[in-house]
Amino acid sequence: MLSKLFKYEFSATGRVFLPMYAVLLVMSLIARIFYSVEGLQSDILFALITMLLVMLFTAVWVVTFVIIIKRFWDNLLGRQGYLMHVLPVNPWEHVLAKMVTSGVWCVAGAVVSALAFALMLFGIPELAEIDFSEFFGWLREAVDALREHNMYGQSILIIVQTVLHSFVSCFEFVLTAYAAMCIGQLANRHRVWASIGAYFGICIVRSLLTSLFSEHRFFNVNVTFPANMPGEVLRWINESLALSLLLSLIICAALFFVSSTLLKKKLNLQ
Amino acid sequence: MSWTFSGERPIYSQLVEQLQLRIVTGVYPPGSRMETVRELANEAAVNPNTMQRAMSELERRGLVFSQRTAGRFVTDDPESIAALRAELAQEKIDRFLGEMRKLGYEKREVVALLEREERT
Amino acid sequence: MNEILICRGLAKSYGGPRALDAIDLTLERGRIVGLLGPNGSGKTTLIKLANGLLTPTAGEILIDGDAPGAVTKSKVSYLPDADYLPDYMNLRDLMYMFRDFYEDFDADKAKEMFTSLGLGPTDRLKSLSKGNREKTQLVLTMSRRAQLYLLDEPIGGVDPAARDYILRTIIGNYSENGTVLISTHLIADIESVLDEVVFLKNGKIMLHSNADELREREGKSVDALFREVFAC
Repeated sequence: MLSKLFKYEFSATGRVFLPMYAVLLVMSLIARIFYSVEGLQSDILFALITMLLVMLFTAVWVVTFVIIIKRFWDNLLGRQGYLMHVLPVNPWEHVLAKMVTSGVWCVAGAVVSALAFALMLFGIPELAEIDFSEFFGWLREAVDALREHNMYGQSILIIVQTVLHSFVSCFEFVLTAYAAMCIGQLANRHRVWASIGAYFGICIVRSLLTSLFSEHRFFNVNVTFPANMPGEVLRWINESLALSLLLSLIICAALFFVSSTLLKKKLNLQ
Repeated sequence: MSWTFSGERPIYSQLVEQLQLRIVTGVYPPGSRMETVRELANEAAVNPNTMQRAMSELERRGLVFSQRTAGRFVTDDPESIAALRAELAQEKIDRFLGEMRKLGYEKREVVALLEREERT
Repeated sequence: MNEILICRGLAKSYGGPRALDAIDLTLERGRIVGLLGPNGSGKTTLIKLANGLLTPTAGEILIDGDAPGAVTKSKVSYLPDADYLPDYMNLRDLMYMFRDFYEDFDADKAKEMFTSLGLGPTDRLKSLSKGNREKTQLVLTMSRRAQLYLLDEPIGGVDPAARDYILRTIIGNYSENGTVLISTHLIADIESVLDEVVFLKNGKIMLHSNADELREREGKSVDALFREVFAC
């Protein structure tokens, strides 16, 4: 059943996301052509197209978040809830399907944005002339230096953790929104305002937890700044990242539990 | 012939009456195959269970019979149909006489009225 | 087990007075049951509880022996009193969706019923009239071979021709051993299809009886009796 839920979730949201990505990519291509064709390069046109693209990039993210939120609200808490909640599926499966789908669209949005940016950027003649071998040489030197001081592993770990962090933050945002809507729908009137209030409530609780966590961490840290041993600093950063990742995961699990339980026990369709 | 029901009496007994009437008047000819209970229920817009009960009653009275695979048929025995016809006629006469009595007519006067009706 | 729906001391309160007040009700298989009561008597609440869209404040409700959940939902076919299908879908999408999620969904039957309504698989819900949207919901609900059909006000606010279509679709398509629970306040319109009637008033059951026995005993129509029971 879960796989079927995924299928419907992707097809329902894909009808908005995919065309949007297509528009973004096409616009970048057009921009690239404008940038590269000589004689077309008037300053006004350049500014205009750049502005349009910046707006488009912003729009992709705004639309992504709006759709993630609206899909949950309409499909599970609005009229369509009468369809979804009588499917032979458990409430947690609904939350999971929506969460994973949203996560995938967040990542897809990032990838497509990067792709569009690259497409456009390499259309600028000045950029195309840059010699990247210099950059790669510098990178190689840096890696060698890190190896020499036994910090290579730690550095890679930082990068991996940072990437993981952005994934988890993505899910955390989505789950915070879901939990907030599940709480907001409990109200019989002004459900949207109640949801927004719940969202800020969760955020406040979350930042309190973070500060509790990090205070505890800072008082117990065994590092002197500026450290003479950069390896120690890296380790310290890694440990901090790991802890904060753990905190995020715990919060995600809690938000997931809150959302599924409210859908199961306190559904209030109108 | 359309199906109409009054809410005051059990739908079941009204169904039995209307089905009998259809057999007597040849809407369902002797020996013919009847529609399924579901189809009949759908046609009459009544509950299939009620139609089933009415059908069982007709079966009990020997007006229809089931063959395990072929379905349900109207009796092809002319005598049962004739008897049913007479029975329905008797019911109508009784009801008619009852109503005439309410109007103050004796049976004899009713017969006289009917004879005069026949002459015109 | 011959009972499909059992309520024991079932109560639901939305914070104020109880919408359902300690109801005991047992429905057997293969019946068409009218859930009759004026607006606000608790009909929709009972149906939502049976669908697991609400959780009881007290007591229990069992469908085929289980509390509402994923298992019971596969046995229950529900027609809500709301326009609930997503606008962008067309009839084929909907049929695929129902077929994917409900093993008892008969897509051929649904297709046939759509065709007889003059609707094609590529028709989008958005393009349908209000009447046809309601019929679409009914067709999807009745194309399942479910054990329990819960129909919330299926004939509310429709014209006599549509009402006739709806009633015929219900009695012509519910599964052999399935039970159909129809909630309505328009009793005269559906009297002739009911096996049993349940009168609900202020969240309490006033009467639960076989419809024909009731007519025999009282010598009046269910509708007339309803008017007496609910006279203000």
